[in-house]
Amino acid sequence: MSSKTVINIGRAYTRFPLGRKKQHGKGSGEEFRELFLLPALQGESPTVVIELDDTLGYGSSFLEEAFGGLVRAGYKPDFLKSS
Amino acid sequence: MQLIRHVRYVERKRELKKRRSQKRLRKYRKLRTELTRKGILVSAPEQLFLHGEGPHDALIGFIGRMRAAISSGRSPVTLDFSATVSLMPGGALLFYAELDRVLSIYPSTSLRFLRSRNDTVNQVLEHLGVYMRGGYSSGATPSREDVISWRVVASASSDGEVAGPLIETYESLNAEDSKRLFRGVSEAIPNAVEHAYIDERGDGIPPPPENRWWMFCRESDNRFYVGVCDLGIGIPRSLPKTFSELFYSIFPAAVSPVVAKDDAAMIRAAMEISRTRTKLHERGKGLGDIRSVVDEIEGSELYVFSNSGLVTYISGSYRLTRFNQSILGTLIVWIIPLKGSGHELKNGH
Repeated sequence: MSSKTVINIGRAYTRFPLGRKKQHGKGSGEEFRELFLLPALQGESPTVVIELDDTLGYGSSFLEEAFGGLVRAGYKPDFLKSS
Repeated sequence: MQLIRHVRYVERKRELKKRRSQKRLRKYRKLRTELTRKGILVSAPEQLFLHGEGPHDALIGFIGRMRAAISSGRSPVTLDFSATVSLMPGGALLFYAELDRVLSIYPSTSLRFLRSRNDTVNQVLEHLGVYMRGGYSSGATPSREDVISWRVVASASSDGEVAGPLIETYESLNAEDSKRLFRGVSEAIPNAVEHAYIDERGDGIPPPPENRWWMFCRESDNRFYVGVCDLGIGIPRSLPKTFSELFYSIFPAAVSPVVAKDDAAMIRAAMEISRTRTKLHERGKGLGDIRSVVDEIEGSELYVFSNSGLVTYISGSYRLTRFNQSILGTLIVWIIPLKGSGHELKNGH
């Protein structure tokens, strides 16, 4: 069992993350959460490392939906801080 | 003797120039009359410029007449640029977006053009593909650096793969400023997609097949321009709907009919709303990321036009401007100084 899962957003998902909901377009925070964050958190690795490099940048909509959306999905902030 | 010859030569030259000019004018008037008899001719203003009451109203008037002419079904519709001598980025983008939108609603429109007498204007209209919309060529070849640096993209979805590569094509931008601009654009585009088209625009024509946003970039005189435009209901109409109770709890004065009708004040309110002021879920930062570009890049400027208001944000200060006419949408323009590091380093200077 690997001790950590590393997700590099720019390499694994998109270099141009943008927007909140997947219904509004590609590269959204919601899609990233569903495709990468949730599977990683449900995996066996106790730690998930998110690398924010290798993209052109982030708007707050993407970040809020991707990470804030985890709390709305039921994850406790304390659990997320320890993951 | 030589002097007399020279004077005669100059007079003759002047006379020929005058005759040529009169001939051109007669030809132009004849063509204009002919086009007006067959269809509708819409004259573009001297400047496609949104600042200042006069140019602003002239441009909005032109766009409105163009929309009415194309939607009237009369054909051909001729857009007359003969008096146009300058195109500024914001005004040009608004015109471009309106033309694109109205032609998407009336795709079979027969469009004609009368070219500008200004070569740079013709170069821009050629380069942006405006003349091509009517199958016309003015004969101008886009060659000026400040013309060929104009680039435009459009989409109906929040697609970073459309907006991001456009910013990245400019080698003159350094990496940090590219990221800052992308962050600003990353808020402007979702705002357009999610909030701009939640109600009818109210321009009297049917809705387009898809609700687009348009984005342009341009570099000129060591300044970099980025604009994002939508042709929706505008921030003053969308803000109370999208933020609803939150909006009125933070800005109780907006309940007042006087404030609610002040589009500039409503834009300013949108720029002030931030997530830190609420615990509600799924709230963005309003226009906070749009403003932060200017907070982080010294010497930069932000212009937010929405409906009949304009908020200018420079060096941490706001300036509110009210116009008589509405642009019927939102146009956000950032201007940042080019530090030159990227381009110069890449070219080994």
